[in-house]
Amino acid sequence: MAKTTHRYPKRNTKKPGRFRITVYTAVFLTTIFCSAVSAGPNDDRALKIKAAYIYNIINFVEWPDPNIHKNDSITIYILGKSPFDNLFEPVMGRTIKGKKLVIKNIDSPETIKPGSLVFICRSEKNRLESIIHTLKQKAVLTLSDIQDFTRRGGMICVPEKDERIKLLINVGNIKRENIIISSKLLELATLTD
Amino acid sequence: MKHAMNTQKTYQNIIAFFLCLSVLSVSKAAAQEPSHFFDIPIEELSSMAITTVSKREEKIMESPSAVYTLTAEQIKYSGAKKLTDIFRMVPGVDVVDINAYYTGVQARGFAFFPKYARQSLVLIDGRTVYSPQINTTFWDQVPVFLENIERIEVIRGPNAALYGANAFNSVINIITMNPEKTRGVFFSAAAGNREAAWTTARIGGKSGNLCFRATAGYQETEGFGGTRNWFRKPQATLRADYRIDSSSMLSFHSGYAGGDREMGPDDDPEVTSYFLLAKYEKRLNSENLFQIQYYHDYRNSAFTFGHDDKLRTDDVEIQFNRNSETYDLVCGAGYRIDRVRHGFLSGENYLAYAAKGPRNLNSETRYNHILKTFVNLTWHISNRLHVSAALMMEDNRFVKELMFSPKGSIVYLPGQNHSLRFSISRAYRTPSFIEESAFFTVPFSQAPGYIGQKGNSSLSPERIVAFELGYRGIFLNNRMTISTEIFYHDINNLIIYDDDGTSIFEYKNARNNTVKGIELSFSLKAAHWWDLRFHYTYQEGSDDLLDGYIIEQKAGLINRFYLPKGLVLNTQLFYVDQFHFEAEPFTPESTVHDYTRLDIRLSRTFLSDHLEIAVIGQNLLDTRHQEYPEALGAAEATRTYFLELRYTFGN
Repeated sequence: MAKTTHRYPKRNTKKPGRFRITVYTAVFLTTIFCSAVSAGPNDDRALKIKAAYIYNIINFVEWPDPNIHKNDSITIYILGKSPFDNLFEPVMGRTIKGKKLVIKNIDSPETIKPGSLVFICRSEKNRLESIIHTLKQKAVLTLSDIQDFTRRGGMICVPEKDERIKLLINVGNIKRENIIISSKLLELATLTD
Repeated sequence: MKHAMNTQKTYQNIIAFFLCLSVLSVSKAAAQEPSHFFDIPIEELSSMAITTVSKREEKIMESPSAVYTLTAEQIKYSGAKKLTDIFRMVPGVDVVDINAYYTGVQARGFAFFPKYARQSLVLIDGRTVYSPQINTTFWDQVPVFLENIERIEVIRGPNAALYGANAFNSVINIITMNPEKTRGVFFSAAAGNREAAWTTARIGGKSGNLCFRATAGYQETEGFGGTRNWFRKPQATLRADYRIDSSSMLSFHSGYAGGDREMGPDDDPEVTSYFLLAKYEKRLNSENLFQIQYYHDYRNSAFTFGHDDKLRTDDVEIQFNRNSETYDLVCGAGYRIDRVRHGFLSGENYLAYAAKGPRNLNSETRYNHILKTFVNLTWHISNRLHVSAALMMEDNRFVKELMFSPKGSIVYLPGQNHSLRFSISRAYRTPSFIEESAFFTVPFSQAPGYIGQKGNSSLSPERIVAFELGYRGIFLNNRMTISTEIFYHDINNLIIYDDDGTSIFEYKNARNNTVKGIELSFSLKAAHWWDLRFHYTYQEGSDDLLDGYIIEQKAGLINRFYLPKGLVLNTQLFYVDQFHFEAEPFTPESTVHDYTRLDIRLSRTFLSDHLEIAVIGQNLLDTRHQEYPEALGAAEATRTYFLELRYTFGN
């Protein structure tokens, strides 16, 4: 049996021309170039979610000290080397719970006033215990994204896990400072010891 | 000459368009204050992905498409053993079981026309598993474990602007878990009637910056009733993620699936598939992400039409993402080469066929090169209004012209809990290797003694233009969500084969059709112990001949009850309308009757949640039913039971 000699019909179309490829390259490079040129401030998604947590949590917290109620502002301290850059800018000066929101970047925990919220940056990992100690009995709500934060005396941790930002709360550490936290927030969080 | 000038003009216009787009985006970025992130309700923050493997990530409310996400939890509680069974839970998706190993999954329009579900694109971790030989997905040949799936995004409607040609009616995007999440040991075993045995073993760990997972398993069943379709599938997957530094990551995935698929007495060909994928991801700065991905895929699907069928693919893609407060950009380019050998492409005549048998018709290797570039830009004009424009350009050797697949959409959120969207898109399904190049004849009892198929190199791709209007709403303090879509699909150049009065069938662009429909889905957390989901779809086609191939109505009702003592009961009730197959050369017309399917899974955990034992019943309402015509070789879906054990340790 002779092998079938049928030739498959040749295509009559042209191969992609040089011009076509040039167009591809041009379009792609243009988009890349324009994106690079318009590169913006440092606020990636993980940081944005963390910042949104910090800002939103204020709505779910009641501080005990009666003096706090006299203040007309509420302060978020960012302690250490802040990753947020100017991410908080849009909410600075916003009114939250009837008070003006102030954001302060600080290097030392001593400057933190009672009845505020502090976000402890990862740069402070090694001196975390001493910071927590300094803040004792000041009714300061402590937040961080340092691993094991809630086990090392911290109150609320926003770690990255499974490509998401989790919310871990150590209720004991919060109660010790007589801070009241709403049950809605507790429902959303994972509670730790 | 005039034509050439016109083409050149088109190119120039395209470049000008992109330049304008980019300039606009730059000025827009400078003009607006980023703030809307702070206004996201706190309950949504924990569920927002930091990054995702999908081309673009949006909060579901802001998504311009009809996206439905299946979670790992839904997959587990469904009791599904076959991957394709979980798509029955998705509104608007048709699942048609031919037998134990062959299933068509597709949304909107033809469930299985004429011989396979060819208008839906499937990706696993960014790797296409769609087969270009005959344009369908062989689900049984994909190495993937249900237990490793993090989520599945099912996007109904065309999405070629982001995924390329063949994302025609829907895209199924399977995303496996980060190995961080699968550390420790996991083991599951299920045994059931019809000789079914399903096992999976997994080990995961972390060493320094390297996180890995290895999974192996074996599946076997006697299959459906009616015909012989014994199914055996050993499979294994490996994934390792290496974090180079805080901004860059290298991922390596590989997998193997094999086993035999019984097609008849003494006919159980082996199939083999494996893949290797490497991906490098670099966060250039906080907003910009660069990715490059390469994969090699090999599949020997000897059982397809009972012919020799080998596919080798190499695919490389670069992608650049930018997510800023005012706009999001995804752009990229890719190159793919497919090499196919298939008995249908062999050029052999019926005499050679008779002498050699179907599996020995080796064809020459045939090639297809695909080159693509895409850009997708979404402006967040305000918290309430998001406008996006996307364009894919593709050069496929089987298509004479460059293919442009655009998509435009507007998403408007009148309040925080409501979103309205409208989109227009165009997509193509490119001719398959067989449609383009088939040439063979086989012996046949009637004159002239043979029948055969002939490809057609001047086929135009099937084209769809889709309009979609959708609404999503959140009610009752996040406990209820409602989603509904109306769609209108205008489809041209449908490829079918025609015998022209001879015994050689040639592929032709023969028909046009419009499909319109409405989809409705809703989920409710009725009580803290009761979750309820419901979906309903109605659709119809315009072409009298083709309308029968469309499943007009389908509905699903899924209840999950969290009972005392760690018991969980999940029940799923599905209704699927009848559909009809016209008489074709050598096959009589036939109707697939409507059916109702009930699946139940009851489980309980022990040993502080390390061990879970479940009883699963599938297809409980009838002993057997057809989901595809018996005349076309389909088996009967049968009632099945499983006893399942799942053990997790050291997570």
